[in-house]
Amino acid sequence: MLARGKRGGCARARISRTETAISCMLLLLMAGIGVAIYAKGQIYDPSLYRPELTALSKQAPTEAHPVESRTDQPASAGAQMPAPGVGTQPASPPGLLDNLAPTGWKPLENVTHFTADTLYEKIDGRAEEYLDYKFVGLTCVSLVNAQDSKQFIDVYLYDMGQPAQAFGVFSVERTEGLPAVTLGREGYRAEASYFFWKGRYYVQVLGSGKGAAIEQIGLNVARTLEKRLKDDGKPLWGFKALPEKDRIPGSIQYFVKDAMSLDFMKETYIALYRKGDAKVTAFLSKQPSGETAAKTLASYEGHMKKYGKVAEKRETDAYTLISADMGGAFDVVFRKGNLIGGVSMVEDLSMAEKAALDMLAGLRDKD
Amino acid sequence: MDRREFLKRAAGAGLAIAGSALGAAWLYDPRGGAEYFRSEENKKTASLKSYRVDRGKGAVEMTVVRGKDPEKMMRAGIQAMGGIGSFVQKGDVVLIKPNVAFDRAPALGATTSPDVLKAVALLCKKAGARKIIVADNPINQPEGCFFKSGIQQAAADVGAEVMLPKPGAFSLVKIGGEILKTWSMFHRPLEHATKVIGVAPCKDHNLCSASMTMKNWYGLLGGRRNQFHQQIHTVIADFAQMIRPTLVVLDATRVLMQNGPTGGRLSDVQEADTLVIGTDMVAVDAFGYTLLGRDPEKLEYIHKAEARGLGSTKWKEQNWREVLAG
Repeated sequence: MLARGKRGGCARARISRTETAISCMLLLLMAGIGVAIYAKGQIYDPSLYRPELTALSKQAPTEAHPVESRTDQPASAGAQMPAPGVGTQPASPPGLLDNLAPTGWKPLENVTHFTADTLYEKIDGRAEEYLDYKFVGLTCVSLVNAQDSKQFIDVYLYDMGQPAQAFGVFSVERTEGLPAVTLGREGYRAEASYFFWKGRYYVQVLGSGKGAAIEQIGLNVARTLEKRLKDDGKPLWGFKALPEKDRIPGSIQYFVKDAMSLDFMKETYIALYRKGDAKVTAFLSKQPSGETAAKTLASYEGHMKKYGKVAEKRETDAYTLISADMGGAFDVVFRKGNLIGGVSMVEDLSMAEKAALDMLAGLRDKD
Repeated sequence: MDRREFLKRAAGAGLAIAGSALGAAWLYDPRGGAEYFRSEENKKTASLKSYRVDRGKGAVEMTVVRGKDPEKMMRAGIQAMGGIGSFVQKGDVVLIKPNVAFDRAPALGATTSPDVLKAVALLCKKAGARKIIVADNPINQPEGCFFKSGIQQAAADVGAEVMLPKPGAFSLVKIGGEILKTWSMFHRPLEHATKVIGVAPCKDHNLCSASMTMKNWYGLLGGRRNQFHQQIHTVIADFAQMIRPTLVVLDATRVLMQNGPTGGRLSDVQEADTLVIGTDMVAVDAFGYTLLGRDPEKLEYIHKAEARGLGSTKWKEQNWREVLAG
């Protein structure tokens, strides 16, 4: 039967079965998509709404340095996200930890990298100490004995930005009495673990157990890595400025804050000296300006008055020197220009004053 | 097209439009995106039940066990507290929460000793536990941490299931602490468990001075948990509020005396050959702190927890025993 109307001649009276079947399938497909969208909408996945930080950084992570940052755990409403693009790239030259495995050993996993923002993921609870020392990046690799998977060596390469910061964190973590090892600028061994600093890097090579074999493997790994690290070899200021005479080797430490547990003592070098039978702790800090140094000296004097008794305050054109009895032991502190130095907790006042004056004289020579 | 045909088609189209409009109205949520997701989160906020068991008055609350063999030590310690049957019954699902925070070898003392974990799991098995789950949330590479710490092998040796922190295993949990109100937690193992036992190493900690049984629960937190470091003592006290475990075990077979919580030097580890088993985390930690050679009077978080009535630092005044085991 023909349809009536102007376009009746073009209209079809019948629709083929194939066309009907295709139409039904399309309708079913649309209904299916609708149901799927609805079902998906019922499952709340916060990770879908979290920015992918690595995608925001300028440079994609390389195979040798995949950016390791787990963001797959649901964060609560209160969780803070790091600023996009901040510190998401490895600062160290790539490849420093590649092919470190000696014969018979292999990497357990890919080299991983952590920034200031993600360091806590690797060393939660300890990260703050490194951040105080202006930490830049951590690159890690784990090597495992191909014959015995219980034996492994973890390599931690901390890029601290500056040699002083690398030395600082190395020095404050060092346990007294451990054997020194010729590695980098300074190194030591604790059973099969090695610790050293070189240039801007602080390195830990941690063996999983005891024994001569793993000790040797650890040392080989440490030596291989040491050769790859650049260092201009310039001595640190504190090493030159602190007197060398009677200094106990390996006793220098560098604190960015809270030296001698005093919250006003910042960026301070400390060293131990043997004076006869006694040990003397000497400290020296280069402050940003003479004014800051004067403030630090005032804080030190306040500390002496609060916890001890000031014995003498000497002021000359060149320096100010204060000595105090801190309850059976003596502190002497001086200020010369923008330098603050002195000795702490010395058994004898005259010994304390002599040690402090010797330090002052040495500084004068170096000036 | 005739008039009849036109009307039929117009009616069909009208019905389709009306149907779509009704469907859209049914699906429409007037709350808007942010509010919708917030309320969805609230709906899914879980609460933790208490896993404690009532053992009646006069029960021994803490034992300090000295010895060399963790299995014998655990047996003797629990026996002094009334036997494992007082804590775990047949058919229980027991969650053992070790500290596997770092990918360190057991000898370095930064993680729970696999031998101690095994000893606890064996006792639970003996009591007839239907299932033993071992779970922790090391933020970085959990597989590596479980492998290197020896916990994975220890769990396998005793037929316990290691539950790794997969994304779907986290839920928002109402904690109700001073700082931790509601937070994302590795909740799945807690959902399954009928009993919970914390097994924590005794170690120095850079931020809170010592990491022991209370601090151990920090390992179940998800999200960006390092933000709590500024108020860590209050947050650790919040854990005592958050969870009431069946039992806690302080693993002081090795004690990491300095450079914690990560360690890395065998020279920092001291063999203390001690286990402290108890039901009051505050008391166990107060005693544990002495094993680090420190004065419990100066450990802030145990006093904060005590002030909230969550335990007692005066372990000497509690019903406690000291036991020597092989």
